[in-house]
Amino acid sequence: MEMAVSILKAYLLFTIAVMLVYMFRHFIFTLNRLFGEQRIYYHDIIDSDLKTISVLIPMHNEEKVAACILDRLIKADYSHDKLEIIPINDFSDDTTKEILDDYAARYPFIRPLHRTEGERGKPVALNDAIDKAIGEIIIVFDADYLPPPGIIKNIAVCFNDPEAGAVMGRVIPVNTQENILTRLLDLERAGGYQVDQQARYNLRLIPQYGGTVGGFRKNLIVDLGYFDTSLLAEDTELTYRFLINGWKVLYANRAECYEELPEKWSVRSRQIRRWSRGHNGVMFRYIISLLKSSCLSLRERLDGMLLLLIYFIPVILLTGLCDSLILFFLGEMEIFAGIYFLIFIGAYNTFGNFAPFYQVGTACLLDGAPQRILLLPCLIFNFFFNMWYITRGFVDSIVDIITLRKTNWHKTERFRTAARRESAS
Amino acid sequence: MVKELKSNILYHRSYRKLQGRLKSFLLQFLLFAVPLSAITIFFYPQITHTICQITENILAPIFLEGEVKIAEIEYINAIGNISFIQLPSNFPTFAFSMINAIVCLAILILIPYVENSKPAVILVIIISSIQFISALFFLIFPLLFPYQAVDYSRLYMIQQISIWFFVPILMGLAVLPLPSSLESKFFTLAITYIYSLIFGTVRYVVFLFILGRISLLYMAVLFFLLGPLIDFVYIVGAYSIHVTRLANKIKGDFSLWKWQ
Repeated sequence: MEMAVSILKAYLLFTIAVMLVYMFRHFIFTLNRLFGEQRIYYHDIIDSDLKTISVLIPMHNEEKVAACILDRLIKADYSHDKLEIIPINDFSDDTTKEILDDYAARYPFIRPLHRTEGERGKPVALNDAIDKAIGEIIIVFDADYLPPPGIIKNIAVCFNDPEAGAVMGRVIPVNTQENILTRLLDLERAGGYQVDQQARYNLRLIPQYGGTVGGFRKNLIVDLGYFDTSLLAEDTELTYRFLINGWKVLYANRAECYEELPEKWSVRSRQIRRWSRGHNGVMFRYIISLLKSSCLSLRERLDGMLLLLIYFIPVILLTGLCDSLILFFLGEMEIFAGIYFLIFIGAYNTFGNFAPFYQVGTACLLDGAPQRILLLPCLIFNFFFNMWYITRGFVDSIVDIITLRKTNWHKTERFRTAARRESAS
Repeated sequence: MVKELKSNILYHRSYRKLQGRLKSFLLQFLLFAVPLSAITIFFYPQITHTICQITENILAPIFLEGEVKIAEIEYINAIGNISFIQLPSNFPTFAFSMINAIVCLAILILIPYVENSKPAVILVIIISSIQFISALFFLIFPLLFPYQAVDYSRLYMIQQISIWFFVPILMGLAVLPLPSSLESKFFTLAITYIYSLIFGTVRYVVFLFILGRISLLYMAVLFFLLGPLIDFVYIVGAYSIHVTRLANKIKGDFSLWKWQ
């Protein structure tokens, strides 16, 4: 019994130690973004020698949003001689095919790929399109995104750096005013991109390729075996595969693109559970090879490990809560009185989501968006919500490994109304 | 005119930053945050005694005469003892525990079907789970429950001292690096600290009332979900008000922003 209590106490201390590590990490990132030297992206490079670009847009039943993104990309500030757009109609049974064919008939650089056979899913669809693509650089957008005219040039220009393997731009939500959920997710995005990603880029750590609003070298993905279709988080997997093979992943804070956030909690719960499942799947696969990689510095390996574990932290928190509950009923409450303040610090760090409140507040300050800062206390709603669904996603990833279960790709439900489609175009 | 326009080149928000001054931050931390934390360390006997007097005055009429009184335990010998309230516990009956268990189980079975307000649903599930476990414990091992209300009272006060000590430090780390005025920074830290004292007192009174007059059954929920986690709400709230005011103020002040 004493041994059991000791183990429980030790696990509680471990939970607290992990929280402190992340608290310290996020605090360093916040200070760096607020006061440190900012590492400027490549957008000032003279861009007379542009690379050929293939823009891939996976689409499954995207009739609500397909026309908007294509209208935007047609206006892109990039020579059409060096640009092709490949919308990937992946087993759609709505009017997506008709919409794409209509655009293809009018614009020769729009070349849809209609998939009606084989496996379904984003990574498989991307692999098929990569085979068809003629561009040197592949840029991926999700179908609900609204790319501004300069974004393709902004993303592409970094590949003049021979070390650049992939690049990620900044995602800006467009439907933030819909309800409390979209407002809270807007805060999360701001903290994650304006502060976290940029600080990791400044400090030459590990920015992450996010699977959309980003690009990578075509020959690189082909040489490294295309996207892994067994994982849901193909973007995270690409990040780590590139890194351990000696390629850099960059972050372009200046390359802003607009996205549509989930407007229902049920949709968000499925999304974050899927992300957790995919990300943790990548974590199990890459954590050892990351730590052993000779292509990365010690700092990069450590930060890469902390980034890989980011969807594991809520699991640690939830099990820590269960652990402390057991200790409570065993009469070990004394341990809480003295060190519970450290759990206090843990909650201070992870309050709400993956970006602590001081990181989100800093992002809002830098963005010049004061009105949303007052919503920070509402992040407590996200705290338990994220903990719950991320843990379920983690359990999903464990079951995937044990049972070798095949992952099925589900896209996020779209909410764009006709009126918003009109204004988006 | 041209000079004025040229002097106001508006760089993109992607790479702008603020001027950081480490010495200034450390000085402000020593002058603002440390004294507030020091108040807790050097005056906790008086603070806890005052809180206990207030609590005793409120709770004494609700209990029998002499049941609610102030006790002391040693803490830091050089400074003094911590005061806390001694009061009787309301041990739950079998029937009360059973009702709680049934209600919590019903909630746990039915609430997942609620599609709207998922965060509230998750919170209710967690609260109901903890309460269900607590009810089961009292049903199966009633005599093994290791605490009385007085134990909670004592440990709550020790925990609160830690919270009062760390609130100025945490707020200081979050607020003091920002380019707001010294007055507003000190005001934010001081107000948050004072609020934490008041909030801790009110929560103490309410929780002791629940444990002493309603039931000991609720101790686990009070401890885990309505404890320090709730303190974050006002800490983050105070921070967000401070940063909102700062953001509104510096929006048009280009002299504050640096680039790269």
